[in-house]
Amino acid sequence: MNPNDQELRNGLSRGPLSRNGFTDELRRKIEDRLEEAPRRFPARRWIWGGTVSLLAVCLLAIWWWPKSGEPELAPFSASADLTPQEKANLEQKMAAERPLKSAVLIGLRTDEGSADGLTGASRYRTVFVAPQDGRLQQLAEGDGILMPYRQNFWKIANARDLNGTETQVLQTYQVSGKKATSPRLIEAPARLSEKLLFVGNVYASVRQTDLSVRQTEANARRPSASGAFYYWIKDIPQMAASNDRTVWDPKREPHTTLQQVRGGSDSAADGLTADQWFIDRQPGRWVGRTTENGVPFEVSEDVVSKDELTLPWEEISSLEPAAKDAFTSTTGDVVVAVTGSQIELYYYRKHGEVSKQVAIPLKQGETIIMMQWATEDKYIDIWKRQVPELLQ
Amino acid sequence: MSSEPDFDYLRYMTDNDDKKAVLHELMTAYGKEVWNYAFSITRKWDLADDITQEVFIKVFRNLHNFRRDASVKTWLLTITRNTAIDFQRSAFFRKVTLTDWFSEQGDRRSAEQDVIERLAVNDMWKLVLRLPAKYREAIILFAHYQLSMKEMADVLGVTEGTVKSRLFHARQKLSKLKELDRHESE
Repeated sequence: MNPNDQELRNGLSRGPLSRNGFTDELRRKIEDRLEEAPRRFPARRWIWGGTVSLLAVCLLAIWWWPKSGEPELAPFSASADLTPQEKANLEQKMAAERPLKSAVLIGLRTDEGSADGLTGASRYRTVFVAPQDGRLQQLAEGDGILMPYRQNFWKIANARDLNGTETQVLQTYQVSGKKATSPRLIEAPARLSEKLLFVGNVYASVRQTDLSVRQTEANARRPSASGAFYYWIKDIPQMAASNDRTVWDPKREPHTTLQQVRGGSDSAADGLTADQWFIDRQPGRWVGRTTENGVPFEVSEDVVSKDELTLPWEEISSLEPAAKDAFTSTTGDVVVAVTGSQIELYYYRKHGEVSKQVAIPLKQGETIIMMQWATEDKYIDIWKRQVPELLQ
Repeated sequence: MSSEPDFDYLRYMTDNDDKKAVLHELMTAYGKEVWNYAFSITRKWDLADDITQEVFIKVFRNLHNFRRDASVKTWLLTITRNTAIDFQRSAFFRKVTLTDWFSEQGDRRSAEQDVIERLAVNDMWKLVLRLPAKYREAIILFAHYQLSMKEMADVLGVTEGTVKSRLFHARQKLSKLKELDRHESE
C-alpha cells in the first residue's frame, strides 16, 4: 500500500541524517568567502595552449570572408546623412530630458580556439542591467542566452548529451510561464556543431558546421558550395523544433528564408531570395548578409527590431573615444558603448548630462549577439522579478 | 521548515542595509535546511557542503533581488536546486560523480549509500533517498519542506500537473521498495 500524506510527513519531518551538515565550520567558510570577487559558476577549466593566438586568427578568417572587398552600410544614422527634418528630430530627441526607464538583456558569445581554428567551441552568457535605486545596475548574469519571447522568457544554450557533457548543439526551451521546461539531455547528432550569431525578439541567426567536411578557409569563404557551413535564420518555434533531432540533415533543417521575411515581390526586385542568410554586426547596426555574395543589406523590423541609434556617432565618440560599436535604448535614455575590452552603459539624461553607470568586462573572444530592451515600467518590473532567478 | 521565520524586511532591502547581518540570520534560520536539500539531491556530504557555500554566497550577492511574491524558503530552495544543477554540469562534478543523480545505478551499493545507511534518521528517509532523483525531490519538497503544489512547481520548474504525477509515482515506487526490502529480509 502506498504511504499516505501523514506517514510521509511524519517520517520525513526531521532532516535526512542524524548529524547536522550545516556546521559552524561551514558557516565560517561561507563568511570568509563573502568578500571574494564574484565569479561565474561552475568554474570552468579552460585549456589554453600556445596556439590560441593562431586559432584566433583562423577564426577571424571565417568572419572576414563576406566582408572583404564588399561595400559596408553606413555605420550609423549619422547626423551628416540625415535630412533636415530628421536632423531636427534627432536634435530634439537629444535635448529632451529622459527619466531612466530602460532595462536590457545583453547576450554574449565567447569563442574558444580549436585545433583546426575553425570549429572552436562557443559559450554563451546573458547579463541583465536595469534601473535600481535611480541608477543603472547589473542585477544578474548567467549561462546561456535568456531572451524575452512573446509574454515569456526562453533560453538558448548549448545542450548536454546523455552523459551530461556540454555539446556544441543548441537547445531552445521556454523557462517561464505555464509551459516552462528544464533543459533535457540529448542524443546529439553526429558531425553537427552550431553557433549562435544573433538573437532578436523573434528570430535567431545560427551557423551550422558539418564536422565531417574539412573546415578550410576556402570552404568558409564559399559556405553554400563547400557543404561545410550552413547559415540559417530561424524563429523560436523553428529553433525549438530542432531540439529533438538525433540525425542532422541540413536539407531538412527548419528555417525562414529571406523571401518569407521580405515578402515575395520585394525580394525578387533585388535578387535576394536566399535560403541561407545570416545577421552580422556592423558598428552601430545589425545587417543581413546572404551566403551567395555577402553584401550587407538592411534587415526588416520583423527580424531586427529597435535597432535605431538615437545618437550620432560623434556624440558616442565624445562619451567613449575607444568605442567600436554602440547601441541605444529606444527611449534614448541609455547608451551602450562597446570598446575592445568592455561594455559601458551610460544614463543619457539629456544632451550634456551623461553619466557612465555600469561597465561589463568582456572576455577574450567575446562578442555581443543580443541586445533586448524593456522600456515600459510594467515590463521592467516583470524582468526585474523574473530574470535574476532565471539566470541563476 | 514548516513555519517560516519573519524575513519580510528582505523585500525592502536597500544597498545600505547590513547584508552580512541579514545573511547571518538567514544562515541561522535556513542553513541546515539548505544543506539538507543539497544532500537530498546529491546524496553526497562534500557536495552538499560545496553547494551550500555557493548558495549563501549567491544569496549574499543577490539579497536585493529577492522577489516580493516569493517566500524566502522557496527562494532558497530554488537557488539550492539551481546551484546543484550547476555542479552537476561542471566538468569536475561529471568526472567525479558521473554515475549519480542523472544516471543513477539502481541498487548498486556505494560509499554514499553506506553513509545513508549509517546516518539516516529512519527507514522512511532511507527509502526516499533510494528513489530516482525526480521522485525523490518531489516527495521531499512535499513531505519535509511542506511546500504547496504551486511552490513545488516553481522550485522544480515544471507544471503543477507534473508535480502531482511525480508524487503519485514516487509513492508507488516507495511502496515497491518497501515490499522489496520485506521480501529480502524474509
